[in-house]
Amino acid sequence: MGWNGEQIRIRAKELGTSFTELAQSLNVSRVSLNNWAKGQSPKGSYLVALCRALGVGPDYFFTPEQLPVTVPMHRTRRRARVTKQMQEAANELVAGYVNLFRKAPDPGLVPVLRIEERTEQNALKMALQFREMSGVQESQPIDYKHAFDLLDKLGIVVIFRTFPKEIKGYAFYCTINRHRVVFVNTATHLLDLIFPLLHEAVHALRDERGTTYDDEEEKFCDMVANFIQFPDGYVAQVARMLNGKQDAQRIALLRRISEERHHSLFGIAKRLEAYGIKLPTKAVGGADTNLKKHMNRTVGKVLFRSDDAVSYIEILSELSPRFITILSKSLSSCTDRKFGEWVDLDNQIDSSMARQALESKLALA
Amino acid sequence: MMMLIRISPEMIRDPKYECATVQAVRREVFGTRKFKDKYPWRTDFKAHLKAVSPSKLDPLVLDVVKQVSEEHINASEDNAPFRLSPEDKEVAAFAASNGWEVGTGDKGLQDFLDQEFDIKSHSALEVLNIWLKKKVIAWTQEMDKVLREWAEQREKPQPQDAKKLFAKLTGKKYPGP
Repeated sequence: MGWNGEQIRIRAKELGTSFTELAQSLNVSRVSLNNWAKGQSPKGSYLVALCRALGVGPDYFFTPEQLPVTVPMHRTRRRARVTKQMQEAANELVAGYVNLFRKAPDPGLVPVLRIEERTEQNALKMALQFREMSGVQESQPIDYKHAFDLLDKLGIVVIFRTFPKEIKGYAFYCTINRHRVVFVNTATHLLDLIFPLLHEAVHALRDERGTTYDDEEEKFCDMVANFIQFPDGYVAQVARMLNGKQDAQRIALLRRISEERHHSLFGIAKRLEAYGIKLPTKAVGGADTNLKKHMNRTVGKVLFRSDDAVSYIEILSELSPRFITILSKSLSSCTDRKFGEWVDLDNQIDSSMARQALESKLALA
Repeated sequence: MMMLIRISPEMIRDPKYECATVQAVRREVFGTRKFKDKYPWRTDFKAHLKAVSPSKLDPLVLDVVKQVSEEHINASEDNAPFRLSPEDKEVAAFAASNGWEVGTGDKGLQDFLDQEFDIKSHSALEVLNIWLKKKVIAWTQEMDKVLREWAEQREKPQPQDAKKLFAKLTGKKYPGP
């Protein structure tokens, strides 16, 4: 938004008040009032008095400015629908970072992948390019390091936050001041983490085309993400391991594989159908839930595992170096609580210590 | 507040101290684990730390605080935008609504209060000095013990001027950070 002093004249005229009378009622000089009308924004205490004198709220004087933010909400957990409340909650969460990104270095040129037709063949083609960028070995599933390295190479800033209850999702993609940003819910289970990261990364690259989000686009991004995470070679390997076994044995084995390779059972279970292995959905769901309960590790628990500020900053720096770089530009000018809000710390003790830890880290660099 | 409450448990309840706290701060003190770990005795003072009534907050002032904190820049910080959290804004709005000064060591909030509302901020020791000067309290061994614990708990270092004034008012050396 920008200060629009002309509104003072308009409102004063509506009320039949002269500038002289207005200045007197505000106990300011006519010169000061004229300066405000010409574009100088008054300080807070004067703005309060001005609003009271003219019977309007402060937003009356500020011109709505197009925020350099797009927040397309489109991916939810399970069957949750994208609602107006969810969109508003996401917008509000992102709005808290606009000032942070105002000082961020320009993102410059970022990789783009232009594919028009949303076919399986094109999804595979895209997935191969992503996999090559991630540095993962052929026939290996994408692991956490590959996923985060990939997002970094794509110029995507990853921000971890505890999502408000209205946002029923693992992660969502947005742009802030031309930066590609993926917000990750700290409540996301580790086994559910990689797939949404990849899904949002695909959105980020296709967003360059001004793509509008719809069901077909969601399915296409899911397809690409699935191919990225589970290459054919890996799926074939798992299929061979499950071949010839009873359903119960298959589920147990798939559960063990999922735990070792850090992915949920669902994503790969669907792909196994192409190899003639159809597992009962309810049993897969049950095993998936049990595995997650057994592991009991969310993103938040990993971030806070050592419960001290220095470790927290170290882990954040490893997972999201771009975010740390952007934060470093604003360290001297934010309050402890604002810093805490940006890095998802809920109290001033932690945020003060984390800020000091980051300052020390930057001083050593 | 947590630095001062053990020196003057009645600092919020007794009007002679002229202090208040807001719900956002109270929520943080009693609702977060970190405060529980750092100040395990805080629940002893739960009844002493009643938040000021929401009726003391002027909604117009809160709207203005929200607007200017997003729109204006901090002249003391190389014209960087102000970066206040929702809790900071609530504290600022209560202070501006009632003409109160603020106890905070946070520079960002201090700059905002000063630039936008000419509101003075005080560190914990500065608040203590105000009470000492007004003879609301006097130096005691217990006070000395708590001030030493400020250093042990790694509370923020206090301004040099405040340390000198403390020594002048009490005749004792300031033992804290």
